[in-house]
Amino acid sequence: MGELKKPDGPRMPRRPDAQFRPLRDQPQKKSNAVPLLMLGGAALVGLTALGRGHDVQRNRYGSLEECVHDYSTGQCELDNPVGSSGGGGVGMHYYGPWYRGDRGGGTSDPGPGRSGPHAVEFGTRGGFGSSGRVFARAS
Amino acid sequence: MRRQACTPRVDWQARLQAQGFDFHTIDGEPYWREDICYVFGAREIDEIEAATNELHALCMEAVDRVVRDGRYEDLGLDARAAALVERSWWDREPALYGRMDLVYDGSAPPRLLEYNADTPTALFEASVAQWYWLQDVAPEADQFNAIHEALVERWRMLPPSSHVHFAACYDSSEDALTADYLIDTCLQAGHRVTALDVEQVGWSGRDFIDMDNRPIDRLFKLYPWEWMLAEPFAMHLQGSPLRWIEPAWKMVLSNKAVLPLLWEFFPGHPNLLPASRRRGDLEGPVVRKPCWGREGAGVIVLQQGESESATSERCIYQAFSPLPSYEGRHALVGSWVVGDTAVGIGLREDEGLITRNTSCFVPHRFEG
Repeated sequence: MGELKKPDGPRMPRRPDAQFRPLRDQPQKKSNAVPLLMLGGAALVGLTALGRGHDVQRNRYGSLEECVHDYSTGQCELDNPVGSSGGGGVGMHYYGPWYRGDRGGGTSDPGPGRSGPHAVEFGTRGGFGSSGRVFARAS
Repeated sequence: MRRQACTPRVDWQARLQAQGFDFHTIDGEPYWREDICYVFGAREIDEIEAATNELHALCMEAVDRVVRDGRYEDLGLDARAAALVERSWWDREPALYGRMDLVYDGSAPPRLLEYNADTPTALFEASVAQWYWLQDVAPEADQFNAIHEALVERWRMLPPSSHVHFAACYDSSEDALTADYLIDTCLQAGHRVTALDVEQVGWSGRDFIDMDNRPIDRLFKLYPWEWMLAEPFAMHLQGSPLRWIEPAWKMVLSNKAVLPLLWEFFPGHPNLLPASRRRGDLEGPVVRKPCWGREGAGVIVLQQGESESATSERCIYQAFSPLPSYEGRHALVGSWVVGDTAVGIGLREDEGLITRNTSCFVPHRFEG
């Protein structure tokens, strides 16, 4: 490969905010290696019993004790939103597992017994993805 | 730049399928071809690389101007989309990748046809399939393709051992392969991953959640922003702390309405084609493109004075610069940007002037 000839004097960008990106110094422009660890075997979590696009809900409790009274310890989790420190404190709650709910009274609550949660929190799935199904059918 | 006949590898289908690439042939018609390849000169590759870097810099400046000047109406973005764009831009949310489509014949400078900045396709073909093809048929040759290494390195922009979710339409084999490949590169960067279908993303009332009902912190989506904004969960986007890849500011670039803005900001630039929202602003033949069209859908060529059919879609017009033709096949250069750097190209060709999802992918190498 020939010797790289550098221009005389400082290199001035055409615009004040331009960033100089030197061409690769490597003798070739292709990757040295393209290893594939697990292609095709991604841990895609398939549809669970909750399925797609169903309203779901979970029971909220003021304490772990109350939650465990309805479910097992492993099924109860402390309210831990993204960005929080994760510790307990005022305003924190315990939740049982999500179960399918139709907001019309029909549910599939997996709890073995019901002491009466403080509240029920509703969640949903399937709020993204409908355009993709339409596009796939049309293409 | 030339198109050259090649001898396909004897077991090429099996080799591709072993990599997870099973849509090399679609409905009996070839999508991946290795009976031919494109050969470039080193000077031409350098020119494409430099042009891509230059164009990306122009695009980043364009996003900045759009945000600072509030040029959202020019892009057809409503207040809700504008708010998402602004927050992600001011927060400097990082981008992973994008693919520019360039018209280039080896003589005139490469010019931008469009920037697939949100959900670019043909990544696996460009990064993996054609790299292994070269290793098998001409290991001593070179190829403008450092995409894989760049992706792994780019993922390292995240804090070590980050947890990244990946959402795609896994019913699509192409989308599934693209997402799985990006997952692979993310794992190689040392992060943890969770994959789920786009429809499986949930909303807890406060956070977007995965199938384990865990709040999602960072989500790579192989799903267009304009689709998300038209769907029920769009109402939660502004209030959610979730960090998206690609970030919302990419909506500015993946929208073809950015092309007239680029021409307005940088008129006469050698790597741009004249473009406008009004056909009358352009001379000669033009191409009409829907702002949110995908895979060439709705794109039409109009000769000077030719009447055009009415359309309800928001469109822009771009000066017609025909793709170079080799033996009746029109070649399009897909130039990949990872982070802020040009890292490789993939060639697609079609009998027609407009590249579509049925156009073939053809590997390349360069010499000199």
